Amino acid sequence: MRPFAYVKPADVAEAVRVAAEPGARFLGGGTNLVDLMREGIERPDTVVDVTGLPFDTVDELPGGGLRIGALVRNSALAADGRVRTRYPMVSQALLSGASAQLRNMATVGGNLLQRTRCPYFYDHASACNKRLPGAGCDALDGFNRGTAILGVSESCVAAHPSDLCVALAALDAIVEVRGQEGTRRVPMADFHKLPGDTPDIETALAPGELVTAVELPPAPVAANSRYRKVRDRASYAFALVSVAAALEVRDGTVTDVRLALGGVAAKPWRATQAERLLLGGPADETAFRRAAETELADATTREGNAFKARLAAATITATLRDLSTGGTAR
Amino acid sequence: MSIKYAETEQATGTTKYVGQAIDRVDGPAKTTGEARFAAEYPYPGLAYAALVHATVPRGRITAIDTAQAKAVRGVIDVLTHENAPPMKPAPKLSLLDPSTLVSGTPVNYLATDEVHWNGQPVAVVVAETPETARYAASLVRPAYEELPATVDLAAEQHNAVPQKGNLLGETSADKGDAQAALAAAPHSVDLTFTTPPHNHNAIEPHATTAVWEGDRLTVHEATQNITWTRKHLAQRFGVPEKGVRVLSPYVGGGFGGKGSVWAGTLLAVLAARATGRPVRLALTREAVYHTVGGRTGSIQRVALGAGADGALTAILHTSVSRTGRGGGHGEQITAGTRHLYAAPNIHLRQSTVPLDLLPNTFMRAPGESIGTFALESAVDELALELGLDPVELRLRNEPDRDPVGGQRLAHRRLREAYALGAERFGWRERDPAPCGTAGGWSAWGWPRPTTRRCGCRRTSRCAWAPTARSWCAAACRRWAWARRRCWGRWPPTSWACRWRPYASSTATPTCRSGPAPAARCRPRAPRRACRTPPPSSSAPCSAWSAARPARRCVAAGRLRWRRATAGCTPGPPARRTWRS
Repeated sequence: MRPFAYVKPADVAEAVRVAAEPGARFLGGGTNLVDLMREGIERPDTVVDVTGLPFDTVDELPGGGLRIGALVRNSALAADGRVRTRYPMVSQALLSGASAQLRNMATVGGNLLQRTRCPYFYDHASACNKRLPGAGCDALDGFNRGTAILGVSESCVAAHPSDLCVALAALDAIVEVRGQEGTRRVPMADFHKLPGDTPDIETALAPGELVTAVELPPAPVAANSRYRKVRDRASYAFALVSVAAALEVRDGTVTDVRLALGGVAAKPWRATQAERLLLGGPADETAFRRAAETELADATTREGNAFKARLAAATITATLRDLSTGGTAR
Repeated sequence: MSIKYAETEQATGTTKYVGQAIDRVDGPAKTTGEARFAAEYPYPGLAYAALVHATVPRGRITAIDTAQAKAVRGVIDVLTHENAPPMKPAPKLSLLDPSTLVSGTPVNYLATDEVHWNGQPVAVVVAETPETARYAASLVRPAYEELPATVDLAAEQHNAVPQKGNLLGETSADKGDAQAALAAAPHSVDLTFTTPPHNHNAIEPHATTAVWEGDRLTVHEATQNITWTRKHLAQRFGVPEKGVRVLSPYVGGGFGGKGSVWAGTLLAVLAARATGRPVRLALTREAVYHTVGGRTGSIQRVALGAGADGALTAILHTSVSRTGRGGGHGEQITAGTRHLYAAPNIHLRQSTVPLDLLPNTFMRAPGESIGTFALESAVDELALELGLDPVELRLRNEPDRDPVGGQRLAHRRLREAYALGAERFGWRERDPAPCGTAGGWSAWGWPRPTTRRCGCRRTSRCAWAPTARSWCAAACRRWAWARRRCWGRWPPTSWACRWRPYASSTATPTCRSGPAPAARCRPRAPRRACRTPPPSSSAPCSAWSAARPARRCVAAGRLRWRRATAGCTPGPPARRTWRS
């Protein structure tokens, strides 16, 4: 491992001041950053350990929303009674990810900022525009089973690995960010960036900005929600495709719906087209399938991930069917 | 039909303790951390090594820039093919000397500029800390002249050639005219199965701590194969075997991956010799994938022809697998098919194609696990085609004699095993549609493959069971209990390389260097095993532990045994001095 400086600031102002220096990285649970440092992908000069900052609580917001501190551990958030009741998809998403040990370490803020698991990103011998801008992309014609199919570019087809973020995107979460200029609020939909020609730029964060909290707005529809994850093995694997869905049906008509996909894009993919088609329409299998297929119509697939478009459409349909019939999540 | 426990016990001979709740004898040592593994032996002046892996599948190293790595503070040396002390080449494979099997590859690391696979070690960095070694390894810059390489099994399968049989097993069989019988059969299935390559992934990645004192070598090693490793190291480094100690009291999983000597072991010993320091090399997961062979992928065809009554008329099973151009071997993919079902016409063929990949190696039931997967899946498909219960189809095709060779079957109790299994698992209560029963059956739906587990060939003492699981996992503990029954005491803690190494069988995955289950039941004088120089190790078998056997020995008045074996127990290496 390359030598680096380690700083543990006493307060948030000091944290963002230290982190404004080039080559600084925030350390939360360390479940991704430390791996990346070991692999030589991240080579920070300074590691700013923010785990001593007071962002580790889940607080009520007026109107029934929740404000989740950026340092709340995944396992704590997944076990929170309010989350489990009001936003079950958030709890399910967290519990579908990683292992118990990792969830005990990993933080909400770090989850938002985790980096792709595209194998070419990790392999120094391969070309990767995300790791080394301008180097090219070996995933385009390589082993691309896990790569993205929506919002991809010729520069990058990496997928965002987070489960939690998929649920947060479906719920219109707000990310609270602290920089030297003060605090700003970034909607989840704008937080992650599609690759375009600059796949190395992954979020809307300016250098040195620190995620301090995630707000979940009140969403009665989310009480009937599911996170369904499809992967190559039943646990401890990243999603090939995942679906976070919430559905409200009255008299056979969809009165509210939230839908987001994981494993298919460089950001958690909010399925806005499908939501528009579903809202006000019948809550039946045909409508679910049509909406799902419409959302996936623009998919750009490659040899290794061509299955993902069908898989995603089928998973959306099945998840909505479960929600509409009160079936159990599988 | 039902079968009593007692009959099962009789069939396997040593099952007095099966069915009882028995504590693992090594449980306390492992759960308290008292058990020490190869990367956990402290030595004064210990240095740490890290590997630099090739990034091309085939080629020559034209230059290797180590200046940046050497400049890192804490780096002791960077060994490459340009400066590493020579190692003798791996001995040629000979069935007359089984220890030659232990060489994972004939490629002589750091003695050649040739690269034979992507990931082959091309340099070793030795440093004061593991972190420094790994960081410096990332700064070594080899340049290559790339040569054409073939790495894709599917693309190369047409270049595969029939595998040769040897003393260890036949690789092909022809009885009758299977092709014609298949064409004429009223019911048939003709299926292609592919299985992916598998990496070894033991919970303890391979690790070596190597210490030279003059020409005497001590190696703490995660190995399933103490005696052959010892002999191999003596040969490669040109020192007398009696001066080499290989110690491996605990192994954190082997599964065949620790059956051969791979790069990590050799290069740790080489680095220790080059630097004059004790050296530890604990492989990263990535390094395990790059330097320790795994199971080959396979492409298999299984075609079965049957009459309306379900009696098989034709069995065809062919396979293509790969070896490495730098070593590896064909696997016995159709071995199970030779013995499982009666049919008048049988065609079996195994073919291999060498690719520019890390040589493949033993992995938990090499060949036969992926082979029986294909065969048994095809039998299930045929049952569906015939509208027959899959267990019934199997019973109707139970042979009276070995289907290919015609030998008498001495201990085949498969009919009873099927009946017992069906009864225990509630087979008749299930929904017969594939995956038709929710709950417990949903993950199964169909019977698990019949797997051959056989410590020997053909007729003598073959054990058959509907699943290998219970048989294998119990083998080691069962052995320890069997020793206790024979000897009136537990096997010793520091079991000293007593059993000849064919005991290190892939069919007993939790007890690699332990003996074969049918091992002799005669007390032996322990002292002979502990003659100086100390023998290569206590056994890595999980069946005996530090605490409990010793207590048992005392209780049995066997203090002499303890004294005698004390010399074999790797003690803390205090009072050792090092030339810097």
